[in-house]
Amino acid sequence: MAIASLQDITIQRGDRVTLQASLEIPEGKITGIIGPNGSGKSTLLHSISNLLKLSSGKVEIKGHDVQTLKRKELAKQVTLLKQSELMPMDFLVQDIVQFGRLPYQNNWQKESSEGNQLIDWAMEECRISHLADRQVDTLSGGERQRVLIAMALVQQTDILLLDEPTTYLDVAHQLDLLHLLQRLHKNHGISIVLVLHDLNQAMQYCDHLVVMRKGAIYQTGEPEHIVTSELLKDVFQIQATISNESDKLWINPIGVYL
Amino acid sequence: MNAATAQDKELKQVDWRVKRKHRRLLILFLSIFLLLLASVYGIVSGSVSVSLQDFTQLLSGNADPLTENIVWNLRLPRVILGALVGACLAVSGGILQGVTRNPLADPGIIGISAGGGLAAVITMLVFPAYSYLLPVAAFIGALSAAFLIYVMAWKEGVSVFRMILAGVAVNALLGAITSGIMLLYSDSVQSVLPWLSGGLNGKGWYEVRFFFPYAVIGLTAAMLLIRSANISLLGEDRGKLLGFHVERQRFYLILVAALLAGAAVSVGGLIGFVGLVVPHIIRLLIGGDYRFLHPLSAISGAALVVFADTGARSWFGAVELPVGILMACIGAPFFLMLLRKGGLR
Repeated sequence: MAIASLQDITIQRGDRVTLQASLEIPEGKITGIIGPNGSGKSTLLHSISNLLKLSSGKVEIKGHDVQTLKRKELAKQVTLLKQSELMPMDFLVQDIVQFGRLPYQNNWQKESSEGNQLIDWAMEECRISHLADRQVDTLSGGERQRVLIAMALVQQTDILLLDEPTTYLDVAHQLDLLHLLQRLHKNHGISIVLVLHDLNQAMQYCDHLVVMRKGAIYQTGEPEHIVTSELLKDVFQIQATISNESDKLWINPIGVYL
Repeated sequence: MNAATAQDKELKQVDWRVKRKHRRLLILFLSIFLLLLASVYGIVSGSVSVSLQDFTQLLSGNADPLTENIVWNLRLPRVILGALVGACLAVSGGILQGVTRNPLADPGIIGISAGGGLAAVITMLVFPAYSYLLPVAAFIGALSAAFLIYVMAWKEGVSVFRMILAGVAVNALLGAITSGIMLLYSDSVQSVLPWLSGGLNGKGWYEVRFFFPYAVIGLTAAMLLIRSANISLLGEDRGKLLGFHVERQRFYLILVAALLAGAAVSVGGLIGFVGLVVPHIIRLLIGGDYRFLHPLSAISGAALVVFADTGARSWFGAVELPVGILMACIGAPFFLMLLRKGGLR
């Protein structure tokens, strides 16, 4: 079952086509998007979450066209954590997380006790409860990332999109974040789509891969089935050996074709 | 996790929620107290000083007529005006800083006040016969400048970056035209100088009556838009992802900021600094959440202008300084001190 489908979409910036794609995103899976810089990965996520105007085609989430769906309704279906997020530095963690409740609130409505429980739950899941009264500017990069994820969780969307969530983190925090996403996916069945640069992380943590090249989709499928040295050469222009360890493929880059 | 630590944790969470609330309440009461203090100071002090005894007699309704006249017809309206002007400017600056996500934004810097200034100078110098229309003209001038900035920044939607730049350019243009007119009419330029440096000299109930409805409407609207102001801090994309109509709300926010600034300029002239500095000081104390920032900026801005205006008219003997000058002289060093002490980003 597809939770989101992109039907012949094209996105243009000026005369240049930056993305041309048809794609189904499987429900209840962790989908990884990989591809070299400028291959349209971010553009793809932006178009799914309706942040970009489509030049043609349409994007559906659970059968609803994202361009005609009411904004608040769309905000209950899908959310995106961008590569770099603006966070008001003098807000408290708790207040940032609470923003995730916006699609469920009217202007003067006070937060319901369910809402508060949800906020507490999300902070617990992301292990930031102890940071609730801290100002954002006192947090580390990894903590900030978890605050944003907690905000997204509070939004209770069916799909969570993340654009390179690990980019600015050290290795330990990268793995920590991926484990958090894995746990959320496993315990709450959230469909996750994320852009990753580390190919081995993509192989280990994703059930499904979307490989992109030059603003188009090159290949989709389970990592074990699609990733070959041929693909790595075509898409990333790298020479790599692939080894199989405990049922997972490991990619070992040894040269470039640039 | 065992029961004891779970309870501990709960206690800890309750603890910080309470602590934060207490801090905010404390600052709220403190600023209300300061506003009251400034108001009393504004009523008792001046070229004819009113003793505290006179003041209590006044409250009980048996003061001598001269004192009563001074207080009711001169000082009270002035205090009310100062408070409203301060509140409007501070809230207007707070909104603009959020919408543009630029700490320098303030009605004086992005050209809204300059629109009011130009209209006022034209009224006073070119059409002096109509100078009783000055507040109306300044108000319309300020709103027109805001409209011009908004239109100039529009290109398939308004970008806040373009808005700041357009604002600075409009500010420079309007300032140049204002100076030009002043040079052309240099023989009567004396009359506009106090207005341009921002002052409440000689203002009374007429101005209060004109200003009051706009101030109330503007401040109420600002409070109703608190959530939108908060969301604009998260940026356009995040706003959309949270199901929010960012452009529409931003338009309302700018409209309200222009209304507030325009109204303040129309009676107080070009009073700088309040809009820039007051929200920053409050941010340093309680953070940038508009639920607390707006009400506190309004009260503190009011207290500051009442205090500075009283000082401006009573500290320098026979000379009444425009409040804008005194405020910049108090405000700038204080702001710089805060900046140096750290905490201000």
